[in-house]
Amino acid sequence: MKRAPLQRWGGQLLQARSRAAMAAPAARQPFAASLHRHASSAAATHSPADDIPAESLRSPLPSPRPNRAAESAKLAALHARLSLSNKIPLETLARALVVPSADVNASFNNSNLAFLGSTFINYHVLEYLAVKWPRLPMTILYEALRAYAGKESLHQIARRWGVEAAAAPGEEVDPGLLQWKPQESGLQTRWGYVRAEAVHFDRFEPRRGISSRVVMDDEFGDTLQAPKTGPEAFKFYQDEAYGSFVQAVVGSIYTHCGREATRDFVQSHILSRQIDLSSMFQFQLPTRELAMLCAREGFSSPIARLESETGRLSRTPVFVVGIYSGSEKLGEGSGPSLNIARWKASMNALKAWYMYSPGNKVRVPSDMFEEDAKPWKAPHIDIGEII
Amino acid sequence: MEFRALARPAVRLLNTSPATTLPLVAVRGHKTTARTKRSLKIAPHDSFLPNRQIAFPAADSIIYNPPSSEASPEHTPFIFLPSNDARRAAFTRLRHIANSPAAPKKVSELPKEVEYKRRTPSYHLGAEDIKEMKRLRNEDPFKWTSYALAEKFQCSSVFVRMAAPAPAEYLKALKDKAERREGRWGHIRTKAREDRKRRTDLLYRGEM
Amino acid sequence: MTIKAIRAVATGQNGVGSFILQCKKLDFHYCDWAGSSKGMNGFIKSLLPKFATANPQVEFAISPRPGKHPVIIGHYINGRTKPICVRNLSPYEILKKAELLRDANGEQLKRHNRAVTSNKPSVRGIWSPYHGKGMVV
Repeated sequence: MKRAPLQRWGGQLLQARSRAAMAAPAARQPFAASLHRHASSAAATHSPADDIPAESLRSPLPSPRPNRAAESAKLAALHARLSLSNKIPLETLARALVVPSADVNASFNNSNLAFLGSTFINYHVLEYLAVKWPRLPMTILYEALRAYAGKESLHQIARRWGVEAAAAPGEEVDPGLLQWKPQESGLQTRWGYVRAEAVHFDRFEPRRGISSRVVMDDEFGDTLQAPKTGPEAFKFYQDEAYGSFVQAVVGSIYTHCGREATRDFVQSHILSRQIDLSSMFQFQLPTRELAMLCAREGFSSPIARLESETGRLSRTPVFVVGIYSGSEKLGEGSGPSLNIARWKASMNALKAWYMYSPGNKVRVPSDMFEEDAKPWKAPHIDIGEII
Repeated sequence: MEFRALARPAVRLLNTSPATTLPLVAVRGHKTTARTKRSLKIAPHDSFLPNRQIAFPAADSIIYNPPSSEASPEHTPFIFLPSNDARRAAFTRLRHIANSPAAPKKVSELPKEVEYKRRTPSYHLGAEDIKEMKRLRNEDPFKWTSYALAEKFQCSSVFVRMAAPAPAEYLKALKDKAERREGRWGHIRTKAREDRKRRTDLLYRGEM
Repeated sequence: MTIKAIRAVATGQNGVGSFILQCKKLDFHYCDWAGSSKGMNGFIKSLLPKFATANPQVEFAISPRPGKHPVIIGHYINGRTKPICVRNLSPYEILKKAELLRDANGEQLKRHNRAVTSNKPSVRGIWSPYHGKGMVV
């Protein structure tokens, strides 16, 4: 990750914003650089009596005007609740709350900030996962990334921040409310590599190998989602709207406060959440895979041994089977039959292999950006999953 | 001792000496929570306590008391630790201490093996045998089934199915036969089969 | 590629990594005429500005409710509300009530028998009769 181009990029975002504001119709006000905040709506005095006649002549704007951000008590409270730096103006936070489906003008919605933020969220989560669990199979790695940085997870984060949505977006709405509609915006907000065969997806399902997903498709190894209709559309667009707010907040932190603040924010709000990796595995042939693992690593072939049992002739027997390689125990499982116990033991042994972690405190590559960081020690790099 | 045994029935339960017998007179029950708790309070097992054999200003001692529970996949077995892991060096050092509980058992001390059908490859078939296997299979697939061929060539039926796959019409006949058989099942057997499939799925998802 | 992944969503706990104050809005209702609002009016004049400045995470809304007792309503992130009637209370007693609402998490009050409720699995695992050395306790 190079520093200079990204910083320039962040700067360009803001420049584009102010340029667009100048080029926009006269009703659009340029960015108000006010940092003044009102913590109570009673204290906010708003008397724009002089500009009412001019406003009544034109059609209403799709989202609140940026200069109304300083009047919103909700926005100021949200700013303080997230402990954001004073360098981040309320106007940027207000812009982060405008989703492209409410206002398609990219100079006034959060699409740019959200894209910038999503790259940082995905980068920090992925580098943490890759160093913390170096042996994870690619499918699990993608799902773990989605568990942290996917739309559903970001939606939950935004809900826990106390973000409320407006009933319908519009100019008169409080700028402290999330402005979104359950429909396609028409603006390009989902990014990824579209395969050449994507046009035929409705007729047949082509093979998408996991190694091709590393290069193609989107950041979670999925094909780009087509616009949704029907009952699942509401949930889809709701997740996307709330998720884009979290991404846009991260993007605005990078734009105004820099890389370190962004990393700290992602660590404290997104990486502090917990996933249970051991419940994310679904196996097909665990015994065969374990035998192949032992053959690959040069361990002696796995042998199932009966550790203890009870009620063999009863209706509810329990067998505890351990899998051994030589005299080393790899895993154990219990079940109502010898085969089930053996399969469970093999699955536990495979999970123990894949979930190897060098420790709870791991250094990630982005730690090297810190000043006077210790010299980099290469983390454990695994040769890959068993195929 | 007698008073103690009367006051704390849990102690009496632990006492295995044959001299103490159950009193014939009714013993007063525990009418309050406090009395119940007090009677159930027993000293921790020796394995939880520090070693008292060492003289008083004893150095720090490690209490080794492995959990009596199923091992979690969060704990990486020793053999799975990569060579550059610090735990590997530490465990290797521990294992070389005499009478260390961390030392691996000898193979003869391990529990007995589970008997199940497993692959015992002998690699005795050559290209000629496989050619012959294919010829027989194509000649009369109803006579030379995979099991018959496996018996003839002393190999597994899985290998026969891979080396000499059956002709398509035979497979179709097998499938039709299975469908006819399953069509005669009642709802109880059908449901039992579906449930079994679902249970297997749960097992592989780690939910059972 | 025999391993498939089961979809999951990470779970968060407030206070782990970051803390978000659960009270997002406080409504103050008063009456200009009624005697029971005397303390509330004094509170709004003298103590509320300082209290609001000290708590920028909370949105404050003050509105009259003529002919009714004064009330403070807390709105929480979990969607619940908590109203407290503050009739005939002195300004400092009302401040206590406002602080109580600010510090609440919006959940219904329930008895906690343990000092810590953890969602982490036990380090030693769930006891099983089939494991361990079978020692006599």
